[in-house]
Amino acid sequence: MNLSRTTYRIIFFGSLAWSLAIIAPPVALHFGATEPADFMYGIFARVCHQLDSHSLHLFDAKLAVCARCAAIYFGFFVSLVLYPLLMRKTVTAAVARTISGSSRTIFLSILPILLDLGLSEIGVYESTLVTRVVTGATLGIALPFILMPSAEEALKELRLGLWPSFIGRIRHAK
Amino acid sequence: MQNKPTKFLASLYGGLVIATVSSVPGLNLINCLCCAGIMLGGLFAVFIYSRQLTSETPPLTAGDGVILGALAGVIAAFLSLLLHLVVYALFGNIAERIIYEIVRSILDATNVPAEVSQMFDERFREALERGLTPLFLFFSLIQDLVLYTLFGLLGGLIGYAIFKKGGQQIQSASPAP
Repeated sequence: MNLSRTTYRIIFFGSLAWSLAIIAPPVALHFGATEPADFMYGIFARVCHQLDSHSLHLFDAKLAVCARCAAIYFGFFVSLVLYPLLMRKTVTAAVARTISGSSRTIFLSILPILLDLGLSEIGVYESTLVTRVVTGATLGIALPFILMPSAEEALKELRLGLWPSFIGRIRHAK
Repeated sequence: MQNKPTKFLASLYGGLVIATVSSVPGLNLINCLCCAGIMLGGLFAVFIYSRQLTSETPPLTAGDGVILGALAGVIAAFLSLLLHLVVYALFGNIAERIIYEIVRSILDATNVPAEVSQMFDERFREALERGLTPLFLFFSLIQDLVLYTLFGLLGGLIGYAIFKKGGQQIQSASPAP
């Protein structure tokens, strides 16, 4: 099954826009645009705690989300860029086919974050910026392999089934 | 073969999970991890729906996952607004006060400059005094609609990957050349 260009483009540009939006506030602050930066920080405040000590910085200002979240989103984007290349190589494609869309992959990719959070919470060790980035990136890199096949299937199904039936109902109502 | 059951009930359960996780002070900190609570709601909607399917009905599809997750997000946005109002009426700005206490303790522990600490106190006091205005509630609803739908949809897709039947193995895909 080939992943249609439409599905890939939708997810690629969505992910690109989201990643750029994460970088936007510190860049805006760097150029003195305080209000747009505050607005962007406000939007991302709903999806992340934005603690300064837990965040990566650009131009001496924190990104719109914490280091772990940023690693998940950037990891997802980088993995998405590499995804078509990996799927063309026979060996990597075979590995990707084995791991993609399986619940075991989902569990294994979330496990490092759970361990980092859990062990840090019970005081076994202190999670650092590095552990947050590494565990976040692990999930981010794995996510396209979990989501892309399902997304392709969903889009195809919605295009073939839901949309024509919706248009049909409108025509019928007229 | 029987028709598939309606998606509304499963989405409602998913929406309830999202709204509860997002509106209950303290519990809403789960969403600080890339909206994990919202994705959990989308995933829960797919779980409930998959339990309603029998061997007589068509199997769970990825489209079902997307619709269930997105619908759970839309329902949650309205439920969340309602819950927010109820919590505010009962306890006042308790969520903001909890967040204030957490950030305050971190600021105290990290020895930030006095002016930063003072600015933080002033901003928070302003926010607490402002309370819930109709404009704030409207923008809050719009933001919730966008975020809950998007992350609910992702949760629905992940839910599909987890709860699809063994025989429904989806193939990995690469973009068409």
